[in-house]
Amino acid sequence: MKIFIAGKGKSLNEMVDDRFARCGYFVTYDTEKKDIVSFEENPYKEGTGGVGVKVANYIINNGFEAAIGPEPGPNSANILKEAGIKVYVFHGHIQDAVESFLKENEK
Amino acid sequence: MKIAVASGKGGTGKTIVSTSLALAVSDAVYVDMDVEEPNGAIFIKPEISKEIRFTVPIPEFYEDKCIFCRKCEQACVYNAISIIPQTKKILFFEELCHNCGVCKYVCPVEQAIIEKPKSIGTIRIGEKAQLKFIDGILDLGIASAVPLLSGMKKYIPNGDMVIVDSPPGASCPVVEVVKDSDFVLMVTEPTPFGLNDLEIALGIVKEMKKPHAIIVNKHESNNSLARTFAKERGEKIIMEIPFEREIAENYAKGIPLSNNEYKEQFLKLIDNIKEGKI
Repeated sequence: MKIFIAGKGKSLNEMVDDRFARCGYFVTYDTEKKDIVSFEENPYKEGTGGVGVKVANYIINNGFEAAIGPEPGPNSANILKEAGIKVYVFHGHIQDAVESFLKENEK
Repeated sequence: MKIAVASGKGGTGKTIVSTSLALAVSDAVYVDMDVEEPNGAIFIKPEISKEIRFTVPIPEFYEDKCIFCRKCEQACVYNAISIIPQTKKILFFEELCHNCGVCKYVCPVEQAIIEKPKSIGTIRIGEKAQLKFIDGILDLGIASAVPLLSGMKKYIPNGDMVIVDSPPGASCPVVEVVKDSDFVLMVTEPTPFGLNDLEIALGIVKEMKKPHAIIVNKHESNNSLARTFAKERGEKIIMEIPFEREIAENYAKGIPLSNNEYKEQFLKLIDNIKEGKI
């Protein structure tokens, strides 16, 4: 399963960003490979409007099944909910966020 | 000729200057384009003869007709659309929409997107003696004033002396007003706040290459902030309205600068602008 992470940085020991759609990096974590498989600098970070919509659209159209980040804004949250993509809210290191998410999902 | 009265900072005296100017000319057209808080009518006291509800086209999406190709979503530069192929849902964020119509234009399916009119404000037309009056009132909760401003322009008669009360700030609504003006009067107050915002607004006016000049409101003889500001930038101050109790008391009663002394000053100002002396 591919998970989207709104990262402040791009590696496991960096932080989950404080902002969802305007995060620093789009980080892709693969639960089978148990690692970050790709990342990209958020191209919409400095957008003037509708960034929440843009990023949520990106998530639902790039094969992500879940998203980890801070609380998303209302537009992002609404789109992800309608698309059936679970948002796992976490503040802290990406490593801890992933572990916590996986533990939660085992249950 | 069209003269826009702009400022940058709000509350510097755009309305008192523009209404005083219009009343001094007497057979002018006064247009209040400060549509988020139009209060020129308080000073002009016009008789309104016509009220027009103004609408913009807004798309409606039909999930039963949509093929979820996402063409509209990708074409929308304002990111107002989310097409969700997984669950066959469409989310439309009306507050982000700029009514450009591109979604309908790119849609390959008949009747999946239908544009419906949506009221966003009222345009009022009236008069006060020889003076023609037009103002716009934006509905509460409407994000962008620009469509209403652009719609108001249709009602401005050609060839007359037109005085436009511009919105404050330095964004799209100001650009919409200034872009087809012949001259811009920038009203400021001689405070760090007033001058900071004036500088930003001047940036727009200069970028648009509009002839302009500064009017200082609430001027005090011991305050040289505005004069220094203008001198340093090579800008011209063409009028200083004093910080006086009588002006403030009249203002509070809805009376603009209407005594003969000001009337003459404003008429001379207009003549100078017309003759290109400023």
